[in-house]
Formats: sequence, structure tokens, C-alpha cells
Amino acid sequence: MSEIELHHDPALVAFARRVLAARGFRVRESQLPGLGDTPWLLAESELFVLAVVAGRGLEDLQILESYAAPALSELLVGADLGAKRWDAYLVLLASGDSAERGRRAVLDLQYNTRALRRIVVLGVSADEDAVLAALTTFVPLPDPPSGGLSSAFDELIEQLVINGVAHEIAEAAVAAYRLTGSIHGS
Amino acid sequence: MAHEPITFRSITVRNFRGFRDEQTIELDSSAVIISGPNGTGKTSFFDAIQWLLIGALPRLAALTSRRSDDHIVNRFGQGEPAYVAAQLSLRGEPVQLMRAGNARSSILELHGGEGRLRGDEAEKKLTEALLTHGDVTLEDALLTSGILQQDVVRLVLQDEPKKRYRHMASLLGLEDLAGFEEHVKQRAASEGRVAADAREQHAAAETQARSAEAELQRLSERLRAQPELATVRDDLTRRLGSEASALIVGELPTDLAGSTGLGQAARQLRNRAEQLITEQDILIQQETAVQTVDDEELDALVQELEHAHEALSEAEAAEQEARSRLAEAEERSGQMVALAARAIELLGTSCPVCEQSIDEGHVATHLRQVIESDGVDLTGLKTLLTQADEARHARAERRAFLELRLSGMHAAKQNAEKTSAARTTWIVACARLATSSDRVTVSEGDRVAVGDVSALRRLRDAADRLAGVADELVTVLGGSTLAEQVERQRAVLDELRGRADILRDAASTDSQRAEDAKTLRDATTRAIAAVTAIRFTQLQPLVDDIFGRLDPHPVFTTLRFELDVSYRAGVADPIVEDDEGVQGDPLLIFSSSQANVAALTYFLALSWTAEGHALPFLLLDDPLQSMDDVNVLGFSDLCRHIRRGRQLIVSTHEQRLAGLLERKLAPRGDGGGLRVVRFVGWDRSGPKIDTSVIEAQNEVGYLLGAI
Repeated sequence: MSEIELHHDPALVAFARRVLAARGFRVRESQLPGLGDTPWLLAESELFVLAVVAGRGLEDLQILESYAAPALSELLVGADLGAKRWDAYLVLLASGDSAERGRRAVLDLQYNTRALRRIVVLGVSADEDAVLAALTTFVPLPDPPSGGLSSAFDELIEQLVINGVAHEIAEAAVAAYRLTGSIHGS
Repeated sequence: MAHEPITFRSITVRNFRGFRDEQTIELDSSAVIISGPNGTGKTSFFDAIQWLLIGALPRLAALTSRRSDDHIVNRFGQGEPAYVAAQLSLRGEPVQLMRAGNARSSILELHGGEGRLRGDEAEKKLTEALLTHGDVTLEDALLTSGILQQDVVRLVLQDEPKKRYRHMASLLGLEDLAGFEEHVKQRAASEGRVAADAREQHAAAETQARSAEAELQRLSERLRAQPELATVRDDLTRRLGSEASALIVGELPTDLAGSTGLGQAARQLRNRAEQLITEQDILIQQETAVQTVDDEELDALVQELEHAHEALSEAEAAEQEARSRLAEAEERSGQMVALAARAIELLGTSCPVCEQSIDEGHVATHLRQVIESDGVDLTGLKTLLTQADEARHARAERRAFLELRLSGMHAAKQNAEKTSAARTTWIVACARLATSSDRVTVSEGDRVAVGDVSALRRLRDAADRLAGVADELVTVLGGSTLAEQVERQRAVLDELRGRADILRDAASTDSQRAEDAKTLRDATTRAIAAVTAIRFTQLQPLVDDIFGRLDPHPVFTTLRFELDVSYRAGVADPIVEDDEGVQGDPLLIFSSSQANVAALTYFLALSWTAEGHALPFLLLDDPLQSMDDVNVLGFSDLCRHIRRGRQLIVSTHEQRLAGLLERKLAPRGDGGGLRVVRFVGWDRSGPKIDTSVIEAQNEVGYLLGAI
């Protein structure tokens, strides 16, 4: 073990903590059992329970997974979570190695659903938006635009004018079509 | 407890597609999982909801080739109409819907807060209750964001670019714009045809006119070359040179119309010259009769008249004074006489002193004499009045005389001015006459223009002779058959030219209309592409979000449509892109299941974005086909978020995935429940269905202690 150099990324873990806490998750950041000062984040809502670890590259994630997955599983075994037991996730974030996406090593991690689901995200920038995108599974869909979409015909008139049609001609043609289903006589 | 979005509380189906015997399926949860092997009636269940809402199954109607085929009514139902009913909760109000009928027609009934509605009223009420925006039809809303049928949505990816564009526009709620574009194109084509026809007709008319003109030219040449006619013309030309030198005519016309026109012009010249000569005589008489008025004399007369006014006023005042004084004296005298008469009555018939009898008449006369002699000279006053009256009369006569004289001088002055104006007008008329004709030139134009009467007389005489020559020419030409042909041909040419002019104007108007329609057509295609692009731009953040959650491909993590206009039609190409900008067509890069995810992404994004246009439920018929475990897990987690905003009814034929969905969609802590409908078999009576409810876990355990 001591021969392998591990590069963990506490900044990504800190961003994850901020993102999840801001969305109502209970969060606790501590040291990953067995890996010294390597941080891991436990986060939980009524739907999900997850652990977040972060490294520099894919190799770091492989090492982190080997410690974090059993550690989280052990915690789950000892807790009475009901159905949420089936919604446990280990999120593995790496700031580099974006070119490694789709590699067998990544797929091996992602498609290993034993005890919990593993989500691997490579090439995550150290900013809130990038970390939020990596954690999107756990946050609600964004709100629909208020008032819905604007009237297609109003937009059409504007665009006809931009494309060289006189406003009164555009308005008359659209009005005739909306009224009669035809532009004859406009 | 949080609000649970539930629209369908139960549905009852009878004699509809795979259902023969009546079955009621409870749906009273925000999430419903429909599971079961293929061929057990799951799709018939979704079809039942669709038919209940819109009275049609468009995807199957398009496949029906024989009129007798009925894709609605159950094949084992003895010909009874199909029947689907549902208990709904629409905006918090309980509503019962029922539809009965077949593929050709059906009737909807709606029982709600406003009582029982049927037919069109019920359809309208249902649309109003489900959609807050009135510019989208229920069918459009249902098919674009209410019910996902995998085979329909995948067409979006598989269509050729133009069809895909139309399909995407439809999914984005822009179907009406496509209809508008179709009408604009039809109109442009129709206006183009009309304009082409008009141009063709105009060209044909021009050709006819040119042909007629050439024929006229040919006939005119022949006419001009006729020997006897040439001789007559030469003779007349010589005569004109000697007898009508006051006019320069140039070459005499060779045709009847030209000769007639020349005669008319000559007669007009002659008449006008004659008129001017006559007017000259009258003017000379008027100018002779004009009296010269000296302005100084006129001013003195005006002053004298003012003095006469003043003198008359003074005489009138003096007369008035004399009349007043006489009247006053006469009044006073009368009063005294009356007073004396009363005093005499008091005297009695005899004097009380001397007792002599009193003669009343004598006393009265005496008194009057005394009164008149006592300072009141009535006779003198009367004489004075007579003198004042005579003085006033004399002065009035003087004033009248002066006024008459002044009036005469004014009239003389006005007459002089009028005569001068008439002379100016006459000169102008002479100048006009000198240049009035475009057929002939007045050789003494300068002299005529300044009103030289001798020149006018020579002009009149020359014009008279020219009219005679033109008449002779008309007579000669009128007697020629060839000349008649020329005239007829000229009439034909005039008519053809007139027709060509009308057709040219019509062609010009039609061409402008066609050009306007073409401009509108081209602009419409670009405008709709722009509107569609705007819609896609609005949608893209949500597409990115959902595509990221479903995560179908490790590298190509962005899905979008590239829009363009090609050959006056919008085209839409799906593009997937990695984070380094490498692009590709998902149909070429993605597997079938990944393409499914791409289609599902767009449908879910539309359903979530189009608030107001979207329905309060989401029906997903077997969306998990051939997805792998990770995609299914991503989809399951996504469903947990969706069910919080829409009632979610999702089906799968894979029992393993149904189990996963049951675990994932089981409600946690917020009440409500999950309903699981298992289609376990099917026979001619219909599906065999087991239903169970998974209640919410009110106590949710936490790994991390309460915060």
C-alpha cells in the first residue's frame, strides 16, 4: 500500500459539501477510514445517501473506491434506513483524466452495483457548477421557466420583420392565418 | 403532507382494443408502475387513456389501410362500441370522463362542477381544464409532452432532415407555424403562377401589336407610293407654298387620319384668329370710349363732397332747432288759452261788480290775442322754420350733385382699368395662338404674338386655305381602298396597343404580388427556423441536465439539434458532442438503446419546460427498452424528481426493472403512495391484472443524525 502514491482532491470534496448542503442534504465531512488524511463526504436526504471522494485521476479513484465502498457499506449495514438502503451511492470525482471516460477501468467501476451504486465523473473543474453537474442525479430538476414559453406567433412576427417583411404585412398574414387558417386575402 | 400531483384516480375500460370485459384500474397515486410481459395489454391501457382524452390514436389511424378496419373496438366484443371512463382530479375538482364510440366517431361526456357536458362542450371543457394556455390543442400537448410512445419519438432521430425538422417543430409546439409556412408556400407558388400567366398574356399581346404595327407600316408605304395620290399631294404642297405662306406645314400626311387631323388643326387656327380679330375691333371701340380721369380732380371732388356733408348736417341741425322752438311756443300758447277758458267758466254769465253780462267768445278771443302779443311771436318762428328748411334742401341738392359726379368718375376709372385688362388678355391669347398647333408652324409667329392684326389676318386666311387643302386630301384618300385598309389597320393597332397596356399593368401588379409572396415565403422559412432555434435554446439547459442524468455515453455528453435552412426548407440534424468539441450524428455513433435515451431526453425536457402547454401527468410506455443497468438506474432516479411535479405512469415489460422502479419510486416520508399494476396474462376477455399499493414510509431512517 505504501508504495502507491494517492492524490486526493479536498477542494472538490469541499465544493460537493457546499453544493449538497445548499440543497437541503445533511452533510458530514471526515477522514476516509484507512486512508489517513484523505477526506470523504457523507451526505443524505430523504431519498439518497451518498459518499463523495475525490482524486486527481482514474488511478486515484480506483484506490479511493477500494476504501470508500466497503466503508460506506459497513455504515449502511449498521443503520436502519428502510428503502433508502437501495439508494446508496459512492460518487468518485476526479479533476483530471477526462480522456479516460469510457475506458474499461471506468466502466468496471460504474457497472459494479454491488451493495451500492458508483458514479464516476472525470475531468471535474474545481468550481461549483462543475461539481453540481457531477451531482445532478441527487438534485431536483430545475424549475420550468415561469409563464411557460412565449407565443410562437408573436415570435414569428418579430422574426419576419427581422427577415425583411414589413410589420403590417407580417401581422396581417399571421392574423389572417390564426383567424381563418389561411393567409388568402391578407 | 406535501401536495401529491394526481390527475387520474381510476380508469375503466370495456370493449376497447385488448380489453373486452369491463375492468377498472385504480391509479390513485403520484407514481404508477405498469409491468408485465409483452402482449398482456399494457399498450392498450395507454391507448385507452389517449383515446379517452382526444378521441383518436393517430399512430394507429395512420396505419389503417381498409375503411372497414376499426382499431378502437375490441375484436371479440360482438360489435358493441368501445367504452373508456376515468375518475380524474383536475385543478382539485373531481371530474368524471366517459367516451364511447369507435374509430370513426365517438362522444365524450364530462361530469364535473358545471354538471353534465357532452360532445364539443365536453371536449372544450376538458382542454380548458388540462391546459392553461389556449393556443395548443389537447392532441398536440398530449403527443408532445403527455404520452411517450417510444416508436413515435424515435422517428425524430430517424427521419430525414426535413421531416425531422417538421417533427421537432411539432414536438416543440410549433406545429401551427409549419401550417402557416405551408400556406405561405402555397400562396407564393399560386401568385407565381398567376404572375407568369399575366406576363405570358402581356408578351402575346405585345407580339400581336408589333405584328399589327408592321402591317400598318407596310400598308402606309404602299399608300404613299400610289402614283395618283403622290401627284395630288405634290400639287397641294405647291398650293400651300404659294397661298398659305403664313403657315409652314412640312410634308402632307399620307393617311386619312393624319389628313383629318390636319384639317381640324387648321380650322381651329382659323377660328381662333378670326375670334381675336373680332375682339380687337371691340377693344378698339372700348378704348376709344374710355374717359381719362384726373386723380387730383377726383381728390378735390371727394373733399368738396365732405364739405357738402358737413354743410347739410349744419342746415339739418338749424332746421331742427327752429322746429323745436316753434313747437314749444305753440304748446305754451295752447296751455294759456286753456287756462283762460277755465277762468271764464268761473266768471258766470254776468260780472259780479258791474252786473253786465259777459260774452264768453269775445273774452276768449281777446285773451288769445293778449297771450300771443305777450312775448310769443309764433308767426316769426314759423318764418324762421321755413327759411331753415329751404337752406337744408339747397344743401342736400348740392351733396347729391357731388355724389353723382363722383360716382361717374369712379365708373370711368373702373372702365379704363377693365379695358386695359382685356387688352392684356388679348395679347396673351395672341401669343398662345402663335404656338398653339403641333402640326403646323406659324411663320409670322413673332408678329402674331404681339397682336399684329395684319399678321393675324394673314394667319386666318392661310389657315382657311390649309383647311381646304386638308379637306381635299381627305377626299382623295377617302376614295382609296388602300387608305381604308390603313385606317382599319390603325384601329386594330390602337385596340391591340390598348389591350397590351392593360395586360402590362396587370402583369406588373401580379409580378409585384408574386414578389411580395416570395419575400414572405423566404422570410417565413428563415423566421420559423429562428423561432425554432429560440425554442431549442430555451430547452437546451434542461436537455443538458436530463441527458447528463441519463448518461448514455461516456464521451459524447452533449445532445443538441443543429438547425439550418436548405433549399427553402428548415432542416434539423441531431448532434452529439464531447467536451473537446468533437461532433457526430447520434444515429451513427449511438447504439439503439443510446438513441432511445436521446429521444427520451427531448421528450422529458419538453414535458418539463412547456409549463402551461404541458399536461399535469406523464405517461411513459416502456421507455426502458434495451437500456443497460446504469441508464435504467439514472432513469429511475430522474423519475423520483419528475413525480413531484407530475403524476407519473410508467410501464416496463422487464420484471427486474419493474422491481427496481418499485424500490426507487416508493415514497419516502411525504405521504402518498406507489401503485403497482401488474399485467399478468391475457385472454379473449382481456388482460389479467393484479394491483398493489406501496404506502409511504412515514419514518425515514437517517445514517447521519438529525441536524
